[in-house]
Amino acid sequence: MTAGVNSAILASVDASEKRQSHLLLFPAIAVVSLAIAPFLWLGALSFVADGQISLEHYARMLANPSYITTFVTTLQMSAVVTAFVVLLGFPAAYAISLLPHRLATAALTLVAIPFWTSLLVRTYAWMVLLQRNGLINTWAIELGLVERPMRLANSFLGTSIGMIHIMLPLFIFTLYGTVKAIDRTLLRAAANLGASPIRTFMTVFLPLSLPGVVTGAMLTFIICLGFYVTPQLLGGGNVTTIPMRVQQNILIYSDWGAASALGVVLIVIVALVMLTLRAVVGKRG
Amino acid sequence: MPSSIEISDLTKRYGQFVSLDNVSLSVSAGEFLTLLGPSGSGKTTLLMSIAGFTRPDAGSIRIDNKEIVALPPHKRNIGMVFQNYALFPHMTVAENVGYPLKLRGVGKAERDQRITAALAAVQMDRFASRNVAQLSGGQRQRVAVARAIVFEPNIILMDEPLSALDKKLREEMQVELKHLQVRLGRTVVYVTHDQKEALTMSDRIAVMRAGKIEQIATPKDIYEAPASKFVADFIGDSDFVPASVVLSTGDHALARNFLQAKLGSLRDPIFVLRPEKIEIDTGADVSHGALRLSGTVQEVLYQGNALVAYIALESGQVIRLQRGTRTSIMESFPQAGSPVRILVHEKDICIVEQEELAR
Amino acid sequence: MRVSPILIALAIATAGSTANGAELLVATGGGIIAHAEREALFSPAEKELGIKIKETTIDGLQDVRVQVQSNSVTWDISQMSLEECMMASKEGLLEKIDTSIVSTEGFDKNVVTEYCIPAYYYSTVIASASNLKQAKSWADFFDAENFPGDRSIYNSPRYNLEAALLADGVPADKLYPLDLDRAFRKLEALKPHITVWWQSGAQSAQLLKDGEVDYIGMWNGRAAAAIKDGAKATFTFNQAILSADCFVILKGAPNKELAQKALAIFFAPGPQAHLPLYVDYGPANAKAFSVAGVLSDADKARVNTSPENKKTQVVQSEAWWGEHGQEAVERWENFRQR
Repeated sequence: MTAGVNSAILASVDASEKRQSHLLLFPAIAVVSLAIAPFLWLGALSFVADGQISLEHYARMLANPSYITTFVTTLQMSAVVTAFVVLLGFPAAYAISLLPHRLATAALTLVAIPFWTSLLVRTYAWMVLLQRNGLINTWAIELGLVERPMRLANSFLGTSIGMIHIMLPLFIFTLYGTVKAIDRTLLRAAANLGASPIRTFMTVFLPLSLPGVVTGAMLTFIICLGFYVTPQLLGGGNVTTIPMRVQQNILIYSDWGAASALGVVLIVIVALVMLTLRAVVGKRG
Repeated sequence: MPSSIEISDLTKRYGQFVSLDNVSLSVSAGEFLTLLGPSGSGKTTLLMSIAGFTRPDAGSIRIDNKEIVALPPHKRNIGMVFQNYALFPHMTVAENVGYPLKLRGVGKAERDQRITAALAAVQMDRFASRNVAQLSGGQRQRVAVARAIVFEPNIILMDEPLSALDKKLREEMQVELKHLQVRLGRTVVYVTHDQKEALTMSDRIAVMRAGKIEQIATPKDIYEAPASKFVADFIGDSDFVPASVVLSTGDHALARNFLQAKLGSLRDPIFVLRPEKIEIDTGADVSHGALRLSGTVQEVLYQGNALVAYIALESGQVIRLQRGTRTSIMESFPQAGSPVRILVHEKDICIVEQEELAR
Repeated sequence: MRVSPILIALAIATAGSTANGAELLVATGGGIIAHAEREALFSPAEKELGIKIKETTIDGLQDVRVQVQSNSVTWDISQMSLEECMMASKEGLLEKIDTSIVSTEGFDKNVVTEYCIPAYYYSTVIASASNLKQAKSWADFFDAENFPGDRSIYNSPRYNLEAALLADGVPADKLYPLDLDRAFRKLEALKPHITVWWQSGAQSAQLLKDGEVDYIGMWNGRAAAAIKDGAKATFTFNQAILSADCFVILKGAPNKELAQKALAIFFAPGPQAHLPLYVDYGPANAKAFSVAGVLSDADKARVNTSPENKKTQVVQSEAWWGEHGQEAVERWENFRQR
């Protein structure tokens, strides 16, 4: 390298800019380590019982079938809720994306309103609607649709309904971004090339919105795994999710490890679900 | 087999705004017709009505004498190249081109063969397995054309297909598209706001203005004999000098019968002067039937392939005169400030009616 | 020598701040019980000791655990369930209670330990919807054939194992050690009729009030409140299961000496006698009922620990639960979630 005019000064400016950009990394590193450190600590605790390194907490999960039932229930619940959220949310996001700007904003605000309401309030509202002497059963009996009240609240069904209602706005918002970004001329192009509206939807709109659907569904599924209040109140003890067992284990075992072992297994399951989905979706893209 | 298009009394309003005002137009089979006009003139609405994306309020569109005005777009069998190409990002080049064939139930073997042929026609056969995202603008444009011709529609619509390309590529593609159209022998309706593109490619140009067709003619007629000041102004460079200014100059030298023929019916005639059709009157050309005017050179601009002189006439009006940059011309070209006389042959003079144009 | 009035004022001020200005921080369970404790226990203690008692609420044992384990104890006294007391004392989170200061006379001997003394009892009672045949015993509650209707029970083996064994005919004085196999067999038979496994006192009251279930085992205070609030139901103290909530002193509490003195007043018969004036949970100190002029006969009929009511009930053995609680919970989950 030949030293030209001002080359030394220009090189030093270069170096100082690089240093400054490295400085910007520190907050990111700090945040990441603050988030990860407690997680690792709790993970490590799950392998400790009575001050000894032990697999006791994991052995307990295998020895008691109820833990497996809890995991199955939690995954089932999340899957059912995610499926319905996708089925209900997709047409909603699609319909809103077709509206003119001002109406779309209004529609999105309506979607968001339940989101602003506290989760507890919404859950209680569903209890009022779904319980044995609740509005739905009262109307159904008055209209002669059923003879005896249906078991809506305090069940898997009631919990699913409550959770679907809670998760729907989040999914619609996630998907709306993707759906809105789809170039409408692509739909015209498909029609021009001979595709009926249904074919256009299936061959162009659906595949293009798939990334948003997958992101939204994954987000929904993972958040559902962590639901505590809704299954607690709407499940009536007939739906036991992992977070409820975490809470229970903290109470009955004076030991963080008993609870964090459940968390570790949950995280492993979430990771597996995400990797599988990514593998499936990755193949398509 | 190319098809003819017969459009009559087509009207489309958006609230108060009239986008198409009783438009009638015939496109003959195999013709390359360009809709040209400023934005808002209705050219895109007209094209979209033919494609079926815009539903007119009234009127008729017939293709080979068959009414299609109420047919949904996917049943019209018309090829279209969109302004932004509208290639499907989730499909490869070959899948994009094969899409209309798949919809028409063409078998895999035949489909592959037709995809290859269509891509070869636009020199894109080597890119069949590429993703759309990996293509340059020009390459996308070619793929869009391949997709529009692969199912052999009798009519192809193009909506400003070259507007996103840079100048050089655009000019190359103009020639290429024109050649392709001639080779395939399809009817093409082409929308552009680029007058040079329209002049280069079209068999006929329909100049649109405020929902109406102002003039429809061959490129040469549109340029040489604009039907209105609007057309003259929109296509090519022109300066307008009112007939009263010219006639008040004693020595304009125009023949009386020429003036009678040209001015006769016009209420407020103005001369359309194209800069490249004006010469400097050196006195060598003594032919009759020419307009001669005196003025002063205000400024001379050098533009590489042209010299443009701004000449103030005695009336104060400024007109432009354009010459090539051959050395012999440049050496004898009048300097700024020097008095000059200009000459325009009768055949190069066009007279239209005065009107106010919105700028 | 003349003494400056400023010095006198200063002396008075400092004296006040050491003796009369002292503060205790007490964690309660909040709600109506905290209100009763404030009126019946805290105010007299403040007056008598010349101190100020500030209140906060405890959400669970983890609140205490965090303070003690991180050596940053700010609470002096906390309320806890007897179950939590047993765990906390096992974990070394508590100070011993000095029985030379705090008298334990009048308390059930098998419920008092060196770390905790019960403040009041609550009863898990049987409540029935008014429009149905009233369940008078656990045998009735478990008899879905003769007492048809939806059941709800606490989502925990606590009370329910005792209830199941009582229903199956085990005499009250032979309950402990609990026969787990027998209890779960009995519960298994009732399981199809259990529609709600309630998780919190508030939830059980809501179930009763909304008529969501027909028969429910729930805490007497919640049942009484729900009925007062319009629930069409009744409940019985017969075979109810008594459990206690206690006061404890946190290990390393900032004012542990003062805390001992405060507990002496909380547990004294006089203040204890005033508790039922504000809440349906009865005093743990039996001597409270012989304090003259506080409780009427109507009060005594309503309060779960009055001698009349208490003799039909069973006091839960925390000794057994401390030993077998975890095992019972795991087995409960296996039973419930199958």
